[in-house]
Amino acid sequence: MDLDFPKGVFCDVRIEDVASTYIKIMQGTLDDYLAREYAAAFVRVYDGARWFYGSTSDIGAIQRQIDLLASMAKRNPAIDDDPVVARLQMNRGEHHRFAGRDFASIDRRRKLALLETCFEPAAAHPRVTSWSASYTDSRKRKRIVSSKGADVSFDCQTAGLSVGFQMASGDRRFAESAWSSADDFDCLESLGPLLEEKLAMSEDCLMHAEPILPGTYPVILSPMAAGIFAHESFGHKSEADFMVGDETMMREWAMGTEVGSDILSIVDDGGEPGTGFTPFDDEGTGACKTWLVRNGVLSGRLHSASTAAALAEEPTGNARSVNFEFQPIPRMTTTYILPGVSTFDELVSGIDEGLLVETIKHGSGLSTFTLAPNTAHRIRGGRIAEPVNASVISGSVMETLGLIDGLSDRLELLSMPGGGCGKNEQFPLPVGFGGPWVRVSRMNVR
Amino acid sequence: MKETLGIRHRQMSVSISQSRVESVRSKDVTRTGLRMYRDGRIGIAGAIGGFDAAKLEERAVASLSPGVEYPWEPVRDLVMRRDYPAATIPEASFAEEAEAILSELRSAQPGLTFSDNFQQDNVDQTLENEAGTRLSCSTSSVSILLGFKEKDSKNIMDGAVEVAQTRRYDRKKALTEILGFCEAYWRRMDLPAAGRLPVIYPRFGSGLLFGRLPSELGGRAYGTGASLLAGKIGRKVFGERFSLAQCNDPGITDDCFFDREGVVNEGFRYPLVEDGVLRAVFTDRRTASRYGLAHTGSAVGGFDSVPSIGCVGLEVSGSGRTLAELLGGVPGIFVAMAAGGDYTPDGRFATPVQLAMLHDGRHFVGRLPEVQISSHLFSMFGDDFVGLSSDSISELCDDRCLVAMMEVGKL
Repeated sequence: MDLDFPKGVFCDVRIEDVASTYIKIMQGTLDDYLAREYAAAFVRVYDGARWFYGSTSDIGAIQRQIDLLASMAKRNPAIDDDPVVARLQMNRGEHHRFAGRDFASIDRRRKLALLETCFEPAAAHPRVTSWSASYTDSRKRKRIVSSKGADVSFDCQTAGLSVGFQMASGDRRFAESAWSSADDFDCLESLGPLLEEKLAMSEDCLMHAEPILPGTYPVILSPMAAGIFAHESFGHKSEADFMVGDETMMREWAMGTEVGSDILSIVDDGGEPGTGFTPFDDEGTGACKTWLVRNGVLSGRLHSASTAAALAEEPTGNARSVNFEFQPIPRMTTTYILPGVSTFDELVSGIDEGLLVETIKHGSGLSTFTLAPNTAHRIRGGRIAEPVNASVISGSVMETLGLIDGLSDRLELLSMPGGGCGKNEQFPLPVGFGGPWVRVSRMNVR
Repeated sequence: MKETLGIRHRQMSVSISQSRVESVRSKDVTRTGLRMYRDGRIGIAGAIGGFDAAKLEERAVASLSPGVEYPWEPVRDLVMRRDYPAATIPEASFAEEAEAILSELRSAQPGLTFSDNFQQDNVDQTLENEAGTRLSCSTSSVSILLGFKEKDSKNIMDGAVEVAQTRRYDRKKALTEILGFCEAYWRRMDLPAAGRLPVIYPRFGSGLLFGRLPSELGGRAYGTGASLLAGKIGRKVFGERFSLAQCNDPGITDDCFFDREGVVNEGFRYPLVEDGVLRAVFTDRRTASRYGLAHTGSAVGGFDSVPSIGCVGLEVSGSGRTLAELLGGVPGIFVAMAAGGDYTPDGRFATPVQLAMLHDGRHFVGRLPEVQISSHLFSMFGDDFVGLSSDSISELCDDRCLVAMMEVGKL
């Protein structure tokens, strides 16, 4: 690509070549079959004081976009010495991990045939009133070229199968889903056995779950619930743009601060395979494993080049955008809690009256976090008991992190097809999450 | 039969960090979806930006082969154009306008730092087919979304205030509203009393409250029996004060007046609940046909996907009473920022309210501690439903408020 970068400003261009598929079967009928391909670009110009962004779906118009943005910027002869520009990496080369097994090269009839193997248990279940099954895949090739000399191209891809179902019995209702994902088509497994397990558990919830008495309980979170809790409650607070220029936050989030119980460690790693896989971020910075919390102590945070410069730290490969229409901002990749030493049974046996949360619908995490349980069971006398309905679990983030008193010994990482993380206007960004089973000694349940 | 859906989105956006303009972004993206209807099937191909018309058609024809059935005729001979222009800000001075707002905020509210964005949107949507239909809807608006935090706060964000989708942008009025809210924020109040209290949801912040209604009122859930309302069309299911319509009126928000199948309803509304009685559930063509329900024109979808059922928008009918009249002299709990709550399968609702304000019906009185509110779907829109105010809390946009009695307690 022959681009003429203007003098006195920094400029980079991110070109995205995207191919995706979405197939949906609703109650046995093919409802949608979408195969999308496009190429588009995002252009950034920086003059040392302000960023100027533009997006174009015309690859031939990139130079015009550069010139337009540069005309809005001020010329800065010392731009190369700017601390932000100094931190932008000059990676080069082609890093195509998925060459030869690109989802776009898979015959669409194979994708449909795989999906058709997934839903039979739901379709045949007498309590299921409504179900749908979907196949999704997305392959992105990106190239990042900068006025500083970067020219790196790379790819990432994921595919997923999902079956969602609703059950009814009289006035009782229950909805759940089963899903799997992989970054290689041949590794995508049919959902049959998992779906049958989910159907059995969901029928039990449908028929027997009663509202939980609101109160404070010890709670065990599944790897899914713990991963979302870590993502919402701590991961977002590790995104450094929240603290840039804010002296209170910088003091509060100083490295070495105790933020959780001493068995708690949380990392973010763009190199982990799955939906959060980000070998280079959208500024061209290479992925790295960042310890956010190590043994309860704040150990790192997630940066773009701008936030790293503002805090006199280094970029971490976390400047990400949802697509060519948006600028990269600090975001998570794959964020998870590290496992501990207990077995699952040991965690449960330590609770007399408590709650086991298996799946959740969503979570949030400002100063007060929330988790909305979907499948949950009471724990009585150290054993898993009847299913319950709870609308929300909430509490103080910092207090709760300090109340973690048990971690199981196996890590489970999850990649949810079709889902993603939202921040400001940018949604959904594919991320990975997970952890072990996590026991919290006290949570507010309603 | 060919049909083309076109969506052009132009946007000017300023990103705000630490109460200053951090970046300026412009975009102008056109998406085109070409639909081919043949032998009871639909095939679609899409393009972002420029495209070769012959190749796009070739792809649309090829996509007929997977076999997505669509035996319905596209809308015929319907020609409508609606433009909803806004008092927009020239692109060249957009960043300066944002900076002027921020300069006033820095001066008037030195204890707060503001973030998020200031943006201007122009959206043009067209749907044209070989059956003589030509539909066009253009909307423009300016939005200011400001998250804020106290300078010595340890939170990421302590509150948020917005001027949403206004077509009457006026700097002075915007500042008056934002500053009025911020001044009230500093007046810490105690919760009047725990228990049943009037809770106020602004129109632009009612997504969480309404979260369950689209799934219960959707034709698919109704038709399959998954909805709690299944089999209840014609029966009283909510309170007499509660009436609800499917609504995609671009005169109020940036909605498009036709759905993804080109259907236009009279007055851009379709009544779903009247005086508490369920009259209809929302449907697209496929769902209406599949379950024998009335077709309400509620198809959604991407520019290049098969139209499918979704909620194009809901509007509660006005009570004819102002917010002050609805409150009847009792201050209400205004939900300014709430995240993370949800409904249980049987309809119980609970959410923490991260920023609750006391509102007397005319003004924000002060800030309350974080509270938890709870109710039930059939209570908050049943006997506990008070009404939708006739007046807006904003002079710049239609931000009328819902009031319902709920259980309120300190978190």
